[in-house]
Amino acid sequence: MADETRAGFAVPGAPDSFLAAFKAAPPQFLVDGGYRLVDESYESLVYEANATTTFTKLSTFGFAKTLYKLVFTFRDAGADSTGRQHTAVTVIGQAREGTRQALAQYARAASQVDG
Amino acid sequence: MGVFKDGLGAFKGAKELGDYHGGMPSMGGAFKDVIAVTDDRGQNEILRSGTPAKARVLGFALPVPDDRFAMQIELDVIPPEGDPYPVNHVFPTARMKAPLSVGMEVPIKISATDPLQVAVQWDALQGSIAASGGDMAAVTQGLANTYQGTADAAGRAYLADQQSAAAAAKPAEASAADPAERMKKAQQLFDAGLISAEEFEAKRQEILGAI
Repeated sequence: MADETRAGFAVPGAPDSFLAAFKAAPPQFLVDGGYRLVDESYESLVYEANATTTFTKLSTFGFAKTLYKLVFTFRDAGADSTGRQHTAVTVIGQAREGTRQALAQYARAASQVDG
Repeated sequence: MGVFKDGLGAFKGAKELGDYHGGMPSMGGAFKDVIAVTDDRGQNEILRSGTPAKARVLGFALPVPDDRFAMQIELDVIPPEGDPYPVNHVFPTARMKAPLSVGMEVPIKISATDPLQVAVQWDALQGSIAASGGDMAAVTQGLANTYQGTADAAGRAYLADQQSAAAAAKPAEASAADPAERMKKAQQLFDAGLISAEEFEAKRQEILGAI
């Protein structure tokens, strides 16, 4: 698929607490991209967005549907030199260009968050 | 006339080819296959309303006898509360989105009505596999878990055999190496007339010389 997305970054904090905070307040790029939470596991959150183009809708009389998924997996990344715990976030799925850029910005910002 | 003959020949050829591959499917059979492929076998309902948990893969995904559209795999279900328990998980093959390898931890949901009914969260599993290094890493780890385990077991059995054989041989060797025992044995053979006086004397000198 053309919009395949794969990313990985580390953020300060424990996986459980970061997952809970992420779930409670998803980043704005997910909301803007039309993604909604469809499934969750002990270490992952699965978001889905309807990405069906107008052309596809017209040409298939509304029968075809394109669904984009983004899976966020949160794992313990160990502690840094100061002893602070970090979480490794792995993202796979599909996203449009705008969402991919916003995800990259979010990853940069979240990695530098001091807290 | 030639056109009809060729057409008939082509039809016969197609039928022979179809028969060779198990017969031409009927329209009814084809529709049944389509329905079987699209049947989620209750997995979606479990994914919607089940309890999130994790499971550990205990074996290989195997075909289900007399069911062309399903696979089965042994899982050790680890519920949020209570002890782990084994489940033979049967799932529609068409739903399998990621590899399942021995020893792998898998996100699942447990049915609210029957704890033996579970559904693998394939999307979440894809995320977990990506976080672990990708499909290849997952499969390689599974193979390592399988064959290292086998090799370890075989190696342990081999060493145990060697040790027990060595332990069993040790008293015999010790007694054979003991000069008093060897002398006693030589005396018994001489007394029984099995060796001559010369042979006994030579053996006696040999044993004494070895002390």
